[in-house]
Amino acid sequence: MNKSRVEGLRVASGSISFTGFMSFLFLSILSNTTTRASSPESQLAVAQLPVTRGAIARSSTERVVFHTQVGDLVFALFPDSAPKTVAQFLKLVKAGVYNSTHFYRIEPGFILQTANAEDRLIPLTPVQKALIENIPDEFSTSLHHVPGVLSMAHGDTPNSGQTSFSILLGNAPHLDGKYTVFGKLIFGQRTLANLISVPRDAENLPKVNLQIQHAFGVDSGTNLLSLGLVDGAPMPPEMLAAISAAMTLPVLWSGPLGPCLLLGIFGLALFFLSSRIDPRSIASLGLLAVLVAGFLIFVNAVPIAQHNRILGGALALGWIGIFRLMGHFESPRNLE
Amino acid sequence: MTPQSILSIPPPTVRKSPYFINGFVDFICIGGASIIVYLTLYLLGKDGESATAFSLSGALVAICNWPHFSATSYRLYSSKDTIRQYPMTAILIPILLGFALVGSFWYPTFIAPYFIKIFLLWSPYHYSGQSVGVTMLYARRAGFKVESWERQALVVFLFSTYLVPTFLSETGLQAAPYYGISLPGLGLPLWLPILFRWMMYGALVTFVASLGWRAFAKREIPPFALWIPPAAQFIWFIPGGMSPAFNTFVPLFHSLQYLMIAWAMQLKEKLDRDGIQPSPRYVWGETIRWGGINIAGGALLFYVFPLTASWVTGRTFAFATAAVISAVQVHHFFVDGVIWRLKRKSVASPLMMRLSDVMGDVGTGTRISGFIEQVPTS
Repeated sequence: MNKSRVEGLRVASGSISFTGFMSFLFLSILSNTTTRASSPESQLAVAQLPVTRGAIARSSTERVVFHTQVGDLVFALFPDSAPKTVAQFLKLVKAGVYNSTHFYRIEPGFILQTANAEDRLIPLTPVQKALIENIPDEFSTSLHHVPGVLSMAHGDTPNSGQTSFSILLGNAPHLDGKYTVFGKLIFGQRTLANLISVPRDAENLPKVNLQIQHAFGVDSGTNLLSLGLVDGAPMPPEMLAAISAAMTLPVLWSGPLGPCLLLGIFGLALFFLSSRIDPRSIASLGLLAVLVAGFLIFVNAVPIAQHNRILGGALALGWIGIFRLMGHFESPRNLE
Repeated sequence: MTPQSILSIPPPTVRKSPYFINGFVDFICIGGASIIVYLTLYLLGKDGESATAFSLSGALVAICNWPHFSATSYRLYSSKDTIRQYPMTAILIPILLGFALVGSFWYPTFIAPYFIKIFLLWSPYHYSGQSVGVTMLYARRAGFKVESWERQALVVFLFSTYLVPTFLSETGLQAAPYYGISLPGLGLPLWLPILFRWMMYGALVTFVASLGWRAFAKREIPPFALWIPPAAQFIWFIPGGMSPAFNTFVPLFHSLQYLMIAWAMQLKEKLDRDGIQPSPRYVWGETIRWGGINIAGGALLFYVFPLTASWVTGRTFAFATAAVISAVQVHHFFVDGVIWRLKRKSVASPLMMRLSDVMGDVGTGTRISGFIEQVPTS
């Protein structure tokens, strides 16, 4: 139960049963993390990411931009809740410590994590190395590990965070009180989708290098559009090739798409086999299963389909078929 | 001429008009308005200016577009019998959509964009389905039989007019903003819209050629009204799709089609069900009552609900509007898909009504208040 909440809908979509999906959403509603909208950023389609329960956390006047091969990410920071973490993070960003570092861990529905700066492509300069120091944990009762927040990673011992941090992709209440929440993503939803769509191995390590090409700070008053930021840039050919190579049927089947496809096929079979049975409630339930499966497939497959045009075409035509099927959703019952 | 031969002469008959109200009003409602507006904007060179059009359509939306959604809900939920006839649609679908809505508010960047995307793909599909239905309805009212394969050609043509621009817009990966929400592009292959473009024109040629041949060889003249919905839909999506000013009105044109037919259905059904005597007083009274309910219902669905959802969840009003209206409209697509089946007698029969049937001059062939047009023949 807890796992479902932590790993988010992508894992829930792996559940074959419609009831399981409903239970997941219901449990999410009952969970004690409340989502709140972030304050809108001017002139940008800002991702409305949840941050706190109750009050909205006051963010710093500085924003941090990560420029990657597949688009830009913009973070707002929470100096009131995590002053030392924010100060250290800003110091490292301004010193260029995050340039050429990379995202090394992808767990859809959970986190996207950066590597330690020591592992970056261009070796750190002595000055940059000297700036890296342990950051004390700064826990807040009002900030929770919900999608979009930044959480400072640390080693096995507390107060050992340095440079690696995560962007939360799902609710993770078990991380509350253990890791410092110090900011949130305010722009770059599609970039994030691009980053988490790349193929990864069994240990959730990406098979392509997701490098942060350039990291820099800007004042919150800056018109971010004027910086030419891109939410979800087209992927470079080598990345597309890696994705296409990874999109084999067994891979698709073993992921969340397999159970969803099974649910859809089951629903279709139920519909066709029971469509002559009166009342047609069973046929309607079959179509509902098709609808739910179609939606879960859509949520999971669009990021992949964006890099596999045949799959994209199949998704679009599949939905046209679903629309047509829904026209047969129910026949009137005879009330005589 | 002998008395016998006189008796053998068929008496003069009155062929009823195929129109619900009269030729002009029906023409305007089922697509004429869109044709006129498009041509006007085009000829005036104003088709690229969306500001004024946006203001005007915004003003009309509350009395035309919103009520058309409300009219569907009213039709389904206004009587216990209808709810009992369609329990899955009336009860289960709102529950399912409720979950989708909660999911959208809970995961605004993960669920909401996909839920809204589905709604946006479904909406023009729904328009196309209605265009097919209205075309077939007028053919039936005119006593003109559309052959099975002509119908197939019509269906391919109408659905292709929607698929060409929809798929074309999905060939890119660039996220599209909708009420401030970033919607993912599908990145479709370019050959897909091209394929449907060929299918669209192929189906159009087939449909026109077939009807033309029947008119020429068999003297089976297709009614004028049969051409209007397909022509209107073509304009909505193909040339009109490139006009920002015209685009803002398309939902209104679709709603206008719907409202006229739903209104006629409501008048006829209520009259038959409650045993009411046809009269102008009944028509005006019921029109005001039904219209008032649907205007209020539309405001509830499209303004009060999003406002409440925004207040309860703390999300912005724009976000709440996008999510709530997606749920409302998907519900509308479901309901429409099941309650307007022309193949069912309970639906087709009242849809053969004319205003004269509820105004009180049934069979007289006279005009009332300039409304009724009946065409005497031989």
